[in-house]
Amino acid sequence: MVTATTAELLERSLAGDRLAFERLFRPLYDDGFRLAVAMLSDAALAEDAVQDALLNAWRKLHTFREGASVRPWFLTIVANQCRSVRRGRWFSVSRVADVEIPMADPATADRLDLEAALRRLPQQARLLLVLRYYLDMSFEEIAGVVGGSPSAVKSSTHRALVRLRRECGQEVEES
Amino acid sequence: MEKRSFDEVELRGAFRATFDRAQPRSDAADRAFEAVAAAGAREGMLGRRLMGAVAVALAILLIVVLQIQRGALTVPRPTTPAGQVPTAPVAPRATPSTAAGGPVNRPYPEMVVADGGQVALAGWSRTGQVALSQDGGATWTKTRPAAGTELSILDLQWVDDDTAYVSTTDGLYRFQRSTGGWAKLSSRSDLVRIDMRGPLTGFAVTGAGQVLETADGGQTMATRSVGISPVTWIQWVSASNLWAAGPQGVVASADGGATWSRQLTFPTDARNGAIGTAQVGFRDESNGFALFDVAGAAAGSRVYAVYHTSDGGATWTAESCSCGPVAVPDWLARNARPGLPAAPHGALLVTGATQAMLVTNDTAAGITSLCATDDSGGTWTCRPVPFALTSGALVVRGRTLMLAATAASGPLLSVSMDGGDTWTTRTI
Repeated sequence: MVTATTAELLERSLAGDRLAFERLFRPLYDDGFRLAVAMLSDAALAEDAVQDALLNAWRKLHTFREGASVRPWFLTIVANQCRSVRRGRWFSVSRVADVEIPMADPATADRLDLEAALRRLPQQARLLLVLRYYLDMSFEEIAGVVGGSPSAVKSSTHRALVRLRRECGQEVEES
Repeated sequence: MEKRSFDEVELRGAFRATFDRAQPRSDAADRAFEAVAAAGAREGMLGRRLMGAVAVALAILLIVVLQIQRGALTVPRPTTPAGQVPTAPVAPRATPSTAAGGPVNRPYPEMVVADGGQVALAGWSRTGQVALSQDGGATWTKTRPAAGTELSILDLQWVDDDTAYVSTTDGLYRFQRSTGGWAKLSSRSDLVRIDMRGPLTGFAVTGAGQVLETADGGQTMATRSVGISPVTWIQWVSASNLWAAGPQGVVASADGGATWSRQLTFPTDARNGAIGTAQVGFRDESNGFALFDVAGAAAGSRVYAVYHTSDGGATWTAESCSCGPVAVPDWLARNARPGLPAAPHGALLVTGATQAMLVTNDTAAGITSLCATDDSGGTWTCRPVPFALTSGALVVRGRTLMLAATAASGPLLSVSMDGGDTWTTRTI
């Protein structure tokens, strides 16, 4: 079986081949959804954001730099779409927890703590933590999403982590 | 309380435990790629490449023009934004339109607006009541501007998650959530729609349909002409892009309101001398709806049209009618009032690129329905809400819906967290 390379799929996508585009981006759908759901805390909104991000990716494919990695490029578009959704006035109603969770379970308490603490962080800090600790991206890859150097991203991520721990009411352990 | 310290491994586990519960629907990816295929078929790759090249060329031209002008002028003159057809530019700060002398815009009976995750503000025009929620709609507290003063609420807007602007018949007020305090910014009593871009700059529309602009948080306001008059609606979509609508059509600006161009003209034969209302709502800079609603020629009839664009207004497609004085959609037949509720302050609540909702009231049957479209307005699905309202306003996020309404018993707030299946209602 002949497997088309990323470069070939990109070239075919640019020529208008939507199946090539789908083969290129479908493996990234789940990552896009996970990022969106962590940024928006809402599965329905996250689905919408990823769909819009895919549309934007299709429209902006000509801006993709040859040799760059597709994953951070796509996740950048997803992150921007999430920012746009959060800004949108027409959507501005609150999110409320989907289900009642008994508080006795320590794991549940952690989950609620983390979710609440993340909500209090600035968007950029939340994005850094999600990319690093949820999508398990390297600092080099994260820099490809948020811009800046990997070392600057590492510092910013550390500051975001310190702030998250503070928001969780924890002792801050400098490392 | 025991202090827990997430190390990096625990943090990864906590993220997974927190967010892995949310899964996309099984067909979500298929639907997303189908949407891309549909968009691709419409636009064509050549067109996209051409549009990209034109946009880049215009952007370069814009930069060159600005650089040239910077040498000669202190303030750069507004330029026609890339991607828009330059129609006759509107001179900033034109004299007020004298054509718009009547009461074109009236306040909606109820308004509800929210910001971020937790805060929401609802208002009832007639009673002057305002209710604040800081916990996502679970609990509400009453407040009011200028306690002891008789006033009506005209419009509400959050400018950040602590500060809301509230327009009343007693003037324009600022509400601070953190202090619970109210401050009067201006004595203007005719700002029926307010749409601030931030705490200082923004636009308002008067009851007479004039557009006003402020750069000092509403303390002083200057009249603007946008190329149509009267105006019934204005909406910021991004830092520089905004749209306005009126019975004549839809206009847009891509330079923060300095210049405007006509994008859509509503059918002239539908007006029959009556002044209709129009609304424009954008999900983002590309996808938007326009709604036109006016009394028809026959007594008791209405002309009602929904348009959709997916290219920032360059082209608009009429969706729900043939856009003459024709029958309204079936679900709006009889005495339904398409202008009834919805939105932060409008009839149509845009919830996605091709999705929108509205609440409509069949006064003859006494049924209030929640209607939604997911195909740009071509088809609508409606279902009754389990209580009768005389009017209401709706906001939506995900599957959470909040309805500020008035029923026979008086003002009420109703919240659904399951997309409208079940509602919790409380009187105000």
